[in-house]
Amino acid sequence: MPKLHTQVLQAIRDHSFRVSVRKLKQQGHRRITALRLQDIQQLISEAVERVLTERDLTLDKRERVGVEREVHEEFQRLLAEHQRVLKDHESVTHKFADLQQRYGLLQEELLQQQVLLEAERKRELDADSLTLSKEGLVDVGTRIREAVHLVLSSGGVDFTNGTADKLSQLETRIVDVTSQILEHERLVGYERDRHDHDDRIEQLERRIGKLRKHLADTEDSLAKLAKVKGIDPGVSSIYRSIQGLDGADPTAGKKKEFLKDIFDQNLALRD
Amino acid sequence: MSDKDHGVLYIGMDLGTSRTSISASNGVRETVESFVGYPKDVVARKMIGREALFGAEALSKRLSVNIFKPLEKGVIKSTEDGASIEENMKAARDLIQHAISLAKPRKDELIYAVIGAPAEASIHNKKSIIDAAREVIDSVMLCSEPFAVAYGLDMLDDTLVIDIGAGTVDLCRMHGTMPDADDQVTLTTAGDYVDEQLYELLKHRCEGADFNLNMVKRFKEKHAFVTTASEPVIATFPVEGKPTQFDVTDEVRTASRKMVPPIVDALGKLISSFDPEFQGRLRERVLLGGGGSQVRGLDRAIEEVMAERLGGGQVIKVEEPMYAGSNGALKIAHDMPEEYWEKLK
Ligand SMILES: Nc1ncnc2c1ncn2[C@@H]1O[C@H](COP(=O)(O)OP(=O)(O)OP(=O)(O)O)[C@@H](O)[C@H]1O
Repeated sequence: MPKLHTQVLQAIRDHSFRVSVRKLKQQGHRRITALRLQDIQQLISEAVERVLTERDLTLDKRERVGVEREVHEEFQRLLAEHQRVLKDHESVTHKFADLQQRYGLLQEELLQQQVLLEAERKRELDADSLTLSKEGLVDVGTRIREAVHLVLSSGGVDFTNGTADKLSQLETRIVDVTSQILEHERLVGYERDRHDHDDRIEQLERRIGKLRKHLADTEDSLAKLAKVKGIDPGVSSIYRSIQGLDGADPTAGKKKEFLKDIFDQNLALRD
Repeated sequence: MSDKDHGVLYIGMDLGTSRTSISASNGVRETVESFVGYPKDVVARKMIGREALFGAEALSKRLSVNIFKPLEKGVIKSTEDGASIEENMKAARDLIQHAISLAKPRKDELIYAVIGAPAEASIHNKKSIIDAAREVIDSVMLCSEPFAVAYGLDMLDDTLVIDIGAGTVDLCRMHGTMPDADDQVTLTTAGDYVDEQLYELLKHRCEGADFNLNMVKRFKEKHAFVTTASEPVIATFPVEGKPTQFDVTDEVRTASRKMVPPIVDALGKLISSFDPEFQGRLRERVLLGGGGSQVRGLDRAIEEVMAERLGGGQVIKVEEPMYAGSNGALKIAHDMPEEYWEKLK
């Protein structure tokens, strides 16, 4: 069947490609599934045999062409299936590698955020210190000025008796007012700081919670994919149907007895 | 199992004491040493990432796993090193299931398997083997290991099968009907015995050298021979840390040859108790298989001693001794009628 031969070769050409071992290695392949020519031949002869036994063995020309076509189709089908399996496997492997990388990054980030949270929790708030920004300073200056002005204009300080005395009174008042203002500022600053601190902790906790969830989801997807990946689709048997002894085997009769003996022994084992 | 509509995968398995091999009708053939290793603790499990390791991989991680050799001497039982029968049973089950997975079965194919089991396995053991296999395949049958070898080679009449394993040499007489107890002889002068003999001889020959039984076994598997002439066999062992070479040709030959006399004695027993009319034919059809048959020149050496003691004989070495059993089991599976498989489902 020269025509069949050419068709088969063409089919092999259509479905295969050349690649160097080095290239495969570069692509990270450690193991490859190779379809040996021997296997291909086996697939083909199995296909031929199957088709022939389903038909009358004496074939006229038209039937022969029909057989050729069917064989060709069967072969194409087997080859396509093989390719599909390989492709599926490859895409799953890629996805798996991506997810693994993502998982690693998430883990790293979670660790960082946990360190930050820990540090923030440990940070002690100093209620006795007063820090003023430039704006804060201007603000305090303005308020002191206003306070002095208020003191002077309200007549809270009596200038009619000795000046020195009056100046000392004024000084006391200003110190009072200033410390009130600063105390107020200190309290406001402390409150702000505590608020920031709480906010930051809450924010970190929220972020960590989210990361944890992402991580769990990724882990879940990884496990699911690992299962799919682990479920190697397997290698097809060359048989489509149950076989049995070949009637043409000259020792078939004797073998039949042996097979029955084996079966009987096994049946006895089940009881 | 209506979803199994893709085809039928036949598997032949040789479940050996030291090695388990499978041959399948999808062209896959694999072999694994019959070791199962379970992680010792949580840390080891994390590190290994699997519940169990098999064969060489289990051995290579022996510090982090507990090693089981579930079919020691062909039977699943409690062993001297403290493994309970339940533990060995579990290890045997895992090993069988691992071996089947090596065949790469498809989910949508019927799987029918024939397992060649050690001749000495008890009924209870056989039942456990079947139970383990049934968890992952559709139908399974056991058969005697030497019978599978003979069936695979179409030598079912007047044939003597010698199967040299690690723990035992099994001899079986085939005469057209199923062999029974009278047709079988089991010797313990097998691979392990040769290892021990060689170890003792090397202790004298290589004084001061550092080596253990396992190293000797590996060395034997590379160099064992029984012929009179041979290239010198050189072993390199450390002496006080320094690699030192020893000519161990004589020691290797002597140890390997120790298997021959007991085998010929057993052959003599099986031949002389056979129908005199067919004794001549039986003598001429001696099949030699099993891992231990790979000793160079063993077939000729057995023939020579047969000529001396039994007046002649011919020994045929099976091709691919590692797969002779599983190939035979595969052939049995292929030939088995559908109704039998169905009944055992
Ligand atoms: N190349 C070799 N030369 C000599 N001996 C070998 C060689 N390869 C393997 N062996 C030996 O063969 C033995 C294992 O044989 P095999 O794998 O057939 O055993 P098994 O079937 O597991 O054992 P058993 O028949 O006892 O159940 C071991 O003793 C091993 O050292």
